[in-house]
Amino acid sequence: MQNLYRYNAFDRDFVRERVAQYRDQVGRRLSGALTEDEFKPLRLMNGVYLQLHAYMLRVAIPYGTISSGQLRGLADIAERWDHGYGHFTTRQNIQFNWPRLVDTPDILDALADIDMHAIQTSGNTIRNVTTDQFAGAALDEIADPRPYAEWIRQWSTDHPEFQFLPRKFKIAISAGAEDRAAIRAHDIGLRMVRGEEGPAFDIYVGGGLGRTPVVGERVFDAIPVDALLPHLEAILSVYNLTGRRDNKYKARIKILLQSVGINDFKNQINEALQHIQDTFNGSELVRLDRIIEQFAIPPFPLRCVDPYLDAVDADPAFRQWVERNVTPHRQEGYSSVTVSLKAHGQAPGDASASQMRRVAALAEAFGFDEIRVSHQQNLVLPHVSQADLPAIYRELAEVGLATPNIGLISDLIACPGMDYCALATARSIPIGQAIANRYASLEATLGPISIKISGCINACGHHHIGDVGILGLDKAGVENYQVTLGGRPGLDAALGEKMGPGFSESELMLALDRMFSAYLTLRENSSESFADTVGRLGVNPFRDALYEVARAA
Amino acid sequence: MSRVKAPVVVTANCLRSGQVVYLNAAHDWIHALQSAVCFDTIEAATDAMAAADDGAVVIGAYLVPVTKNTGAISPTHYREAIRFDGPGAYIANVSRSAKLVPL
Repeated sequence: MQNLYRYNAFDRDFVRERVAQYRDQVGRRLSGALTEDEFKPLRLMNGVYLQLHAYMLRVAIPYGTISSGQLRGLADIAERWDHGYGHFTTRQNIQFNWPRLVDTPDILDALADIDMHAIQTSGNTIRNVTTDQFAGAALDEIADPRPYAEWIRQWSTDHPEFQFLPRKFKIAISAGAEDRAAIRAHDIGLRMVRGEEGPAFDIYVGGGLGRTPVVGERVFDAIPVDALLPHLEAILSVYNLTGRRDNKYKARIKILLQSVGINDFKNQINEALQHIQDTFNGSELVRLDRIIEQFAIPPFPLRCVDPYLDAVDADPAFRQWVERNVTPHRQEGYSSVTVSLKAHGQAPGDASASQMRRVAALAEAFGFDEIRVSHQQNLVLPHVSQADLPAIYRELAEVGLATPNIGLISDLIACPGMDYCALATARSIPIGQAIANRYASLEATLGPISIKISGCINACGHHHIGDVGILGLDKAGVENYQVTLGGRPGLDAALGEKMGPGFSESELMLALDRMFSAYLTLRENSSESFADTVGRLGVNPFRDALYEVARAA
Repeated sequence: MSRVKAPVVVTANCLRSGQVVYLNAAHDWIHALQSAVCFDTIEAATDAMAAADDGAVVIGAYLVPVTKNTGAISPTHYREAIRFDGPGAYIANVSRSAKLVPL
C-alpha cells in the first residue's frame, strides 16, 4: 500500500473537467476564435509555456512525491509526445520540453489517467508546495510534513481568492532539525516544531531569490495546526490586497514585507485573522485527519542485512555509492537512496523514459512503490531495506543512475538556461557539464561543495544560496558568468556575496581551478569543507584566487 | 530595447508545434534558416512580417539581425544561434531535423 495521497472521485472529476475545458480552449485557439493574447493566460493556467524552441509543459508533482505507476505514466508521455526524456526541476516538478500544442490536451488527459495534472504550475497563483525529499523517512523530523503539504495543496488549488495574486507564490514546508527544503527562500516557509498540544509551525515570510534575493523572516512562532490555514489565508489576503501590481519586479511578498516592516505586516495579518478565523469551521481539520491516514508510514519488515554488509566489504564501487548516495533512515535496517540524475556530462535533472521506468520498477520491487523528486534535481527511493541495496545499486548502475556523487561538486543544480528558456540570458547546462567533467577525478578530494547555476537573474538555479553560485548574463552579446560565494539554504540561510566582474566560459573554468586550488591549500584539514573554509576565512582569499590572473595582467 | 539593425530575417514559433520557423521569399513559414529571406531594410522586413503573421499559423514573430557571409545566414547574437541549433545538452541524442514536425 502506497503511503501517499490517493485521489477521490471529486479530485478525478475536477481534473477531468479542467482537461475538457482546456481542450476546448486549444480548439478555439487553433480555429482562430481566440487570439494569442486571449489564449496565453489560459494555456499558462494549465502549465503550457512557450520556450525558445518549442512549448514546454510543467507538470505538478505535489511535494515531490509520486508512485511507480505515475512515474511510468510520465515515461510514457515522454516517449509518446516528447523527445523521450523529462527534466526534473528545482521545484520538485517535471517539465517536458518539446510537446506540440495540439497534443497538450491529450497529454493532460494522460496525466489525469495517473491522477496528475499541470494546474497552478504557472501564473500568479500558489504553486506546488515543496518539502524535504526524505520526509517520512528522515531520522531528524518531528512528523511527516507531507500530509500538511497535501492539506495546503487542497486548500490552495483553485482557491477563488488567490488565482490572480500580484505575483506567483511559493510555499515550502520542512519538519527536520535540518531544513532540507530551503524554506527561507520561499514566499512562505513553514517549519514544523513541537507545540504545546502537538505539531505546530513557525512561519517564515518574505523569502525568495530572483532579482531581489531576500532571506525569509520568522513572523509567527509555533502556530498550532488548527490555526495554520487561517494564518496562511490571512497572509495571502493581505498580500493580495496590498501587494504591488504596478511593477512585476516589485510584486512579490518580500517587497511588501520590506516596505511595511515586520511589525506592521504582522498587525495587518492579525487584524485579517479576526474575520478569517470564523470562515474555518473545523471541517478542514476532519479533512486533515483523513489525509494523515493516507500517509501512514508503511510497516518495515526486519530483514537480514548480512549480504549488504558483505557487499560493502567486498565491492569498493558499491561502498563508495553507499557512502555518497545512501542516507540513514528512521527505521534501523532501512535507508533512503538518492538516485543521481547527475552523471558526469549529463544535463542535471534530465531522465530518459527508460531511466524513469527503471526507477519505477525499483520502487515497486524494493521501495513501497514510492519515489521522491528532490529540489536538488535527483530522485529518491525513500524507504528501502538495506538487504536490497546491492540489487538496487546494480540495477541503477546498468542505466547510468548510480553515479556516487551526491553532495559533491558534480551534484550541481542548473536551471534549463538558454538551452531551453526564453527568459535566459546565458546557458547554464553546458557550464554545469563542463564543471562536472573537469573535476570528476578531483571531486572526492574536494569533498562536499554545492554549485548552483542560473542562466538569468530570475535565479531558478538558486545561485544565491550555493557555496558557489554562478549567474549567466549577456554582456554586450557574449555569455558572461558572475560568481558568488558563501550562500547557503537552511535555517541559517545566507545569500552569497558577488565576487566581482564576470568571466567568459573559458575564463570561468580557469578561475574556478585557481579558487579550488586555493581551497585545498587553505583548508585546515581534509575534513574541513569548502563552505566551512569560506566561513572561517571569509571570501577574500577566494576572491583573490578567482581574479589572480586578471590582476596580474 | 536596442534598435534592430538590418540585415534581418523574420522568425516566429509555429502555433501548432511551437517549433522555430522563418519566413522565406514566398512569405511561407519554413524550418530552414538558410532558406529564409534576408531583408536589407527594417521597413521591408516589418511589412513582410505584418503581412505573414495573421495569428493563425505562428506566434511571437520578430526580427533577427543576421550576417550573410558567402551566402550563409548566421544570427549575430548567440541567443538566436542557440534558438536555431537547439540545445547542446540533448540527452536523447536526436538531431533537430529528425524531430521537426511538418508545418
